[in-house]
Amino acid sequence: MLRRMDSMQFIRNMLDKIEPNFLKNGKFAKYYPIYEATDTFLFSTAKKTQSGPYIRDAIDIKRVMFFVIIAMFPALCFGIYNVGYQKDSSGTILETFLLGLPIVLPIIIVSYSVGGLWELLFSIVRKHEINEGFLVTGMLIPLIMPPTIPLWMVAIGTTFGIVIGKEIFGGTGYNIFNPALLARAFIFFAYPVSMSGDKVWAVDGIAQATPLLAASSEQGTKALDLLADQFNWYNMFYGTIPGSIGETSVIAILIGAAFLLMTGIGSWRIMLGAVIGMILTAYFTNYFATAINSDNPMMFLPPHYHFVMGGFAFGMVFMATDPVSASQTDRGRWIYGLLIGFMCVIIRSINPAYPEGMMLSILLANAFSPLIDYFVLKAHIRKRKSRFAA
Amino acid sequence: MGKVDLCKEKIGWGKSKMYLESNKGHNITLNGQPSMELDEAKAGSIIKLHPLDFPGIKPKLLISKGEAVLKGQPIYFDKNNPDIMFTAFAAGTISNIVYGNKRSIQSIEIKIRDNQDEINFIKNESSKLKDLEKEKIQNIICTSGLWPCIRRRPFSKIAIPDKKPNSIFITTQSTAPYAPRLKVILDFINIEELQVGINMLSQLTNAPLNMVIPDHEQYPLLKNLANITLHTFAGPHPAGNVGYHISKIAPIANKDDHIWYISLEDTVSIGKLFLTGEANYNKIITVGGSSSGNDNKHLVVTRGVVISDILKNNINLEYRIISGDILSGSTAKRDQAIGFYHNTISLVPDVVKREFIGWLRPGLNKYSLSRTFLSSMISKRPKNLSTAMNGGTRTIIPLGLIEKMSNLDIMPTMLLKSIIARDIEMMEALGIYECSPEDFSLCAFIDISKIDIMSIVQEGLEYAEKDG
Repeated sequence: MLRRMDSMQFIRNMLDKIEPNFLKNGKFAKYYPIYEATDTFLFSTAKKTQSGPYIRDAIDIKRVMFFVIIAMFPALCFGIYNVGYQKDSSGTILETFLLGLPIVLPIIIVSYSVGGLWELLFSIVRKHEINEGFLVTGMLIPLIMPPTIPLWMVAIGTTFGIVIGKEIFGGTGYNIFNPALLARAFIFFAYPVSMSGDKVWAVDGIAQATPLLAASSEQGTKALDLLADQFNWYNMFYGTIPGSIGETSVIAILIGAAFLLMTGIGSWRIMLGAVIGMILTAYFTNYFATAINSDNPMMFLPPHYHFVMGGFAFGMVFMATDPVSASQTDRGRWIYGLLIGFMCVIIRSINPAYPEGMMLSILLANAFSPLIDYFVLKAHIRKRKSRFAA
Repeated sequence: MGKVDLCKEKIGWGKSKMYLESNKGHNITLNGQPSMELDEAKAGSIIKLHPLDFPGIKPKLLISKGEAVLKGQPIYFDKNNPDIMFTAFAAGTISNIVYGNKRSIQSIEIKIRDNQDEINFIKNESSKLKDLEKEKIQNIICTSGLWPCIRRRPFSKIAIPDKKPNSIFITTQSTAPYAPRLKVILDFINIEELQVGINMLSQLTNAPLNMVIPDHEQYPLLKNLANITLHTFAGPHPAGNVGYHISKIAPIANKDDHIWYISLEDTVSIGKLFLTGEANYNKIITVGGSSSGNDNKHLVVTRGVVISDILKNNINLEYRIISGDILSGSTAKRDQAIGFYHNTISLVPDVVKREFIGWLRPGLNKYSLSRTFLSSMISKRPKNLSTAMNGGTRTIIPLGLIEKMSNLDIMPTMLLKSIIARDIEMMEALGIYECSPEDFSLCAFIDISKIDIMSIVQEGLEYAEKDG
């Protein structure tokens, strides 16, 4: 214990010693963001309140972002395990996990280092502190990539997501789209073969379609019949299926969701809205498909299958709830969530070219969220005016 | 309005018109709560006047250094409203005038003399108060130095004498940390003076008067007041803020909707002024947060009393002194007087310990209204809060937390964004005129981005006043 105290004090002293170099007129004043990030990462900030309120809540952005990463942890761990499982399902849990680790870890490292580099560069040029939001983006990107993705593509995707998706708008807090989703969308459209198509899951030459591809593969049949050969609801719920690294295990995702809701970080309105929107729309397409005797297999997919397939659960819990790109009013969050659920099913079932509807539906909702807020605001202002009319 | 009836039954307020209940906000439980004991803090050898206590005035001095003044004698006036006098709170000699930036007057010091001669503002007129004309009432209050006690919304500035209000609110129990208890104040005042104060304000303006009192206790003294409507409120801070009461009872639609507000104590002073001719410059304050428990109590002080005379015991230098409440007051030095509008001296530990990887810790000893610390699972929240920011300033990340801390019918995040964008039209539509920085103090407390929300609201008000 004593030794730990000493080493902590040693680090503290060292940081204090080099600090003047990074302050105004210091040798490395330009690189102050690097110092600030390291300093406040290691030790809670020394900042004191200068104006009212003179006391502050203990919560800060670091804590919030860190908690989002904790929430992603079950999905990440299961994802690593599942990558190994898809390669060789015969080993013990640990063996399988260790089999997946060398595939997933490089993707995480590339995502963090490329993303971190851009973040650093922009914070130095713009002279602002490094925003912790990138820690979440850097973890989200690997989780929504297929494990077969070439690393250079991860680097390009991350660059696109961070620079075009976030920094050109002014950095974290000003972005319109979720940067991680934009990274995925970029790779999806730029290199479609790596993201979808027949070879979506080809570890060591074993090619297997994801459930969504399987379910939409043949016209004139029903999705459930197409699925029945390879997948059942339970293995899609547990997650021992091919898919992007973090998205397959709905149970791991739901543990994360429970954590986000318990701590109040994830918006329950958005999550519930997305689920309700998805259920209603899926029932509608089921009913409609039966009525017109459709030959589109996805139209027949019932809501509880929509829930466990593809990126729906992951997107709903970790992507849709991004507080910056989502609607920022309570009523807006409901509408935004409902829109995501609705769009996801519609894209999945109406447009066979994009069996994964969640990514596009969230990006669409991101684009619509300022408009949603605008209408919520208008209604609020109208209501306010009516108070004075009397 | 079912709630109104329920409240009448519960409390027995015959005249209660509205029951304001809010579940937004929070009562921060802090160590060092003031006891109900009421003591007197005698001023030392000097008192100080700080013109900067009054935002927006242009002070013009009427005296010079070395001059002898009576208690109640005008010391300076506001060039924008020359009728409003700022008077000496005690008789003595002007011992010093301290100037700051751009020749702004920082403080005027009066060396108190033993012989406390005072000005009588009203002679032989107490018998016919009912017949006093508006101009006369206004003139007496303005010259007595008590006019600055009347403030107005929007903008929380001194009321403009010639611009009569739509409504007047008499504030009773603040819900801010360490605020003086209404019970203590009511035990101290003369209820007849309160009634006369109410009558005079009513006679002056013909505006309806409102008083909003907490519903958890009975105040039989207030029950028989005339010329005023009694309402009740319940809920955590900021449920006691006058801004909340105004927004529910007489909402402000635009810039020219003036609402006046004055504290119950100051209304008593106005009553006393008309009954006796004497301007009462005493007020009840509290001291809270001191580590020595004996300090934390109610005190009767003269306005202008220097803080070091209030805090007789040596206060540890590791404490920061706040004149006013801990959320919306202002940092004060020991040789400064307590703010004109402040009723509390709050002490906050000013030592920030740097925790190794603090963001990773479970946080058993953290005070947070969020659910991201283990301490929030255990209901007993620790009460030792310091001046630590607990985080760096970042851009707005709207988690929906600040919405839980505002009880105005206002969308705080959207309002803040419109202020930052200087979109005056939007600010007005979203209700900037109903706002005062103090109504957003808890929003600033809970904000994860550690943005200076109260200053942003103040800025917004200033834009709107200038260009709206």
